[in-house]
Amino acid sequence: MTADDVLDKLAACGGSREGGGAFLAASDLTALSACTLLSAS
Amino acid sequence: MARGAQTFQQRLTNWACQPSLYQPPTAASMARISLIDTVACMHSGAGERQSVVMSQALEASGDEGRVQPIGGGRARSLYGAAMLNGTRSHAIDFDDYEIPGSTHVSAPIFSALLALAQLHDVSIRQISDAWVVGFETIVRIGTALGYGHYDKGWHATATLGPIGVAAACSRLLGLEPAQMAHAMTLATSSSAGMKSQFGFDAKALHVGMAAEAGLRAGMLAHVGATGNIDIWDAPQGLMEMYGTPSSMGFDAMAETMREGEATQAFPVARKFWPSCSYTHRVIPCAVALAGKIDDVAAIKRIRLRMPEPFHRVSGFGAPTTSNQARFSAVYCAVVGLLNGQVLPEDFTIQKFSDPVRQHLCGLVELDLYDLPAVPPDQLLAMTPERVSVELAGGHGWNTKSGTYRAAQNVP
Repeated sequence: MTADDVLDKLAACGGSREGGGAFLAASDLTALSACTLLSAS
Repeated sequence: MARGAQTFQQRLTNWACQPSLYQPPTAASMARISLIDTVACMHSGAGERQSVVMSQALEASGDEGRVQPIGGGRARSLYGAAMLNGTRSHAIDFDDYEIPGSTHVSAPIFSALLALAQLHDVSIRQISDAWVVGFETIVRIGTALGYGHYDKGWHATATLGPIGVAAACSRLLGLEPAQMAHAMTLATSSSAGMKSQFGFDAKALHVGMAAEAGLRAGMLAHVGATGNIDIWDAPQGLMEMYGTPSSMGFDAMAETMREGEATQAFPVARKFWPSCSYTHRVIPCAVALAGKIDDVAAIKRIRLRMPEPFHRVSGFGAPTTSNQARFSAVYCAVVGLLNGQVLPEDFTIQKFSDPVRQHLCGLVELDLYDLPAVPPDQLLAMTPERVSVELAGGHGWNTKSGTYRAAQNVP
């Protein structure tokens, strides 16, 4: 399963595909900011 | 005993507590993708009945705190949030898994870590390193015990999961190797849960309880609690109590263990369908046949050939609940044949109670076979599934066979 597949799955499950992409690209984040990125829709 | 008389546990904890964790270059990326996958599962599972009853039980017990569960809702205690995260992450059985231990690996680990991370200001790199440690721990214990542990009836996510969570939380808390060893052995005191709970709320609750138990063990070790660290190959230890005659044991496993490299040797597998992983070889066979069926009313018989131990895990027939539908190879095959795909909504009562689907489930004949006597690493490739369909007025059976491919390798 590619990273794109996982981002699609995130969007299908109610999360933010764009946030997931930003999470993958970020050099580092806190755990909480990552969860916020992934959750925002 | 390998490497200058160091035990499996000493080698594992010495590696896991290095300030700069040795790991393959791909491990951090794998951890991030698994985090996304797990958070997605937490969101999708938040409204499922297992998650709702867990929330209700926490509420009824007066649980409250300042840790926000992933997927929303009232802030909980550290342990309450871990339990709720874990239950949500596994509620629709969509989360990733690893092969040697037959466990859902990321769900319990991230459920605990994402709760703990709210009380400590930690970076994603620290979370990632902690996941690598938890993954490595579960894979190595799973290798030592072998498939027989799962086949015997243990829900390995509930037995091995707490130990991996304890190691992961120990890493995040910055514990010393000796403390991590105590956290792991304390977690074995919560290693429980049977496969006979599959198809019921208990399966997802097991993941919540594993997250909570491993986290609690880590917190206990952090403040100095101890257990018997000679717990692995020792008399009445994990090997003797949870292994089988075919288990290699921890000393033998350690002979070939390369600390830090489990993510490379046994990459995590991620799910395309929210159902039991033993249905995931049946589904592509059925989907491939779907285009050959113009009229489902013409289906006379469906034959499903698969290993008996794998069917035992996914053995429900025509489902009466959502949980049963996810653990029914029969139902998953029928959906694949009918629609040429399997979607999350196929596990809702509106879909699985459809009379056509229920009727087709009744047409399925099982052709079960024993596992071949081959080395464990060859087992999945040597155990093909086969779906065959006989149509009225047709010319015999249409058949499609498939063998195991880890979800990460499916295009």
